[in-house]
Amino acid sequence: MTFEIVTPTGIVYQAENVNSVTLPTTSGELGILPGHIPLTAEIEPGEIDVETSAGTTKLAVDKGYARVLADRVSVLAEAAIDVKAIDLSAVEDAQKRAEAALEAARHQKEIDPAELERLEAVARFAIAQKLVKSKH
Amino acid sequence: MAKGLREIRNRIRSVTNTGQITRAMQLVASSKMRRAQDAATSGRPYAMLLSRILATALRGLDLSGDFSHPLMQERPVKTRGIVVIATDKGLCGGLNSNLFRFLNKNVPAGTPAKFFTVGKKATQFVARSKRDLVADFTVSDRVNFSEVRPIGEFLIKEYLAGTIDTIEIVLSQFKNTIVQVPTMATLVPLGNLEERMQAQFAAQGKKEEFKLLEDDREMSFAPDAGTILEGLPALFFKQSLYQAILEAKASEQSARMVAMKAATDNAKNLVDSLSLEYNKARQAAITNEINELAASNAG
Repeated sequence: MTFEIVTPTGIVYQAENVNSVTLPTTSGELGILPGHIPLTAEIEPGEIDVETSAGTTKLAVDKGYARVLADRVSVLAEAAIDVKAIDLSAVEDAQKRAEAALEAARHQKEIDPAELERLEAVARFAIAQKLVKSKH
Repeated sequence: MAKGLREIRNRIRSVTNTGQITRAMQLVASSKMRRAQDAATSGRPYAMLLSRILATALRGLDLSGDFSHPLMQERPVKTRGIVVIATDKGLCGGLNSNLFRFLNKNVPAGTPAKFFTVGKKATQFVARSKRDLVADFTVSDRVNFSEVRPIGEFLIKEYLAGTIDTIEIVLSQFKNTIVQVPTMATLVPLGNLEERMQAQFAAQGKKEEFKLLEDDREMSFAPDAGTILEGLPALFFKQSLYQAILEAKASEQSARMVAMKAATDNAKNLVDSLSLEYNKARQAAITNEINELAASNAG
């Protein structure tokens, strides 16, 4: 089974000969084994576990979609990061900045909803990264 | 004679200076070009996967019942919405003028249409040709998704409000460093996905055919196709717009690099021929002086 994560900046993670993948879907955690039926699922910000014979890799993803087809698991997300690469202080800084900006924005009436959405994405992804990191 | 010499010398100096400037611009453009080309090609897998997920979700719904999304519904076109993507700066050869000629041909003046522009040159052109310009945007050279998002939101809002009945983009599609092709594509309503992706692939110079559905086994959905499909068309539209802007940026930097290289080569040739002329004139002046001396000695 092959596994890949695709974001707007390109394919950020790829693995061959994967034994199992655990995906954080909106309807709960979902384990995918080789030979799974074709499936399209919506993904919440959270943790993806990729298990190969070399060990388990944990990745934090933002919300997106996953597709299982012909022994190939593809995840489409706005952002993804390897748990080992997560720098918690940087994450906290990003989260604080985004939350402060969100708070300031809520008090203003004239705020661009697109900007608000972008800030929410930053805060959301930061929280997902922290959750995943704190578990290990 | 001395005056002629000085004139030639001044010209050599000014042409050399111009050559140095164009050479610097060529170097800047070539490094930006590499980055822009990388960005344009690395965005393609995302576009492909997104279109495939959208296609499978649509097919899933086709089987289970009827569904209509405002961005996918065709409606009678009264006013076209056209997004023109051009550069901010000039000095990129015929890139913009080719694009605008293409636009003039495909959307003759007088067509009921509203225009949106990305890039200063596009704004100038639309305003000068007295077309109905609604909004102009600029994006940085290293454009990222969050810069494009508000443009997409704005266009969707206009479309849903009914001010425009289509969203079409006009851009210089990047093929390779030498070739950029003016292209026009309709993004909304999202029509035939497969045709669209194939056209995009052909424009990018890919040989193999793009297939949206590689497998005809039945797809299951979690939670269900309707929920998954809700946000997808808007995301797909914004992604297509982002990709288009990336392609336009890659085209711009490539065209600028080629134009500046040509200018640098021209300057070099000009300096060469001017130097030859200068040396000839100098030689003639010296010969003349010797002749005069010899004549005066003999006398």
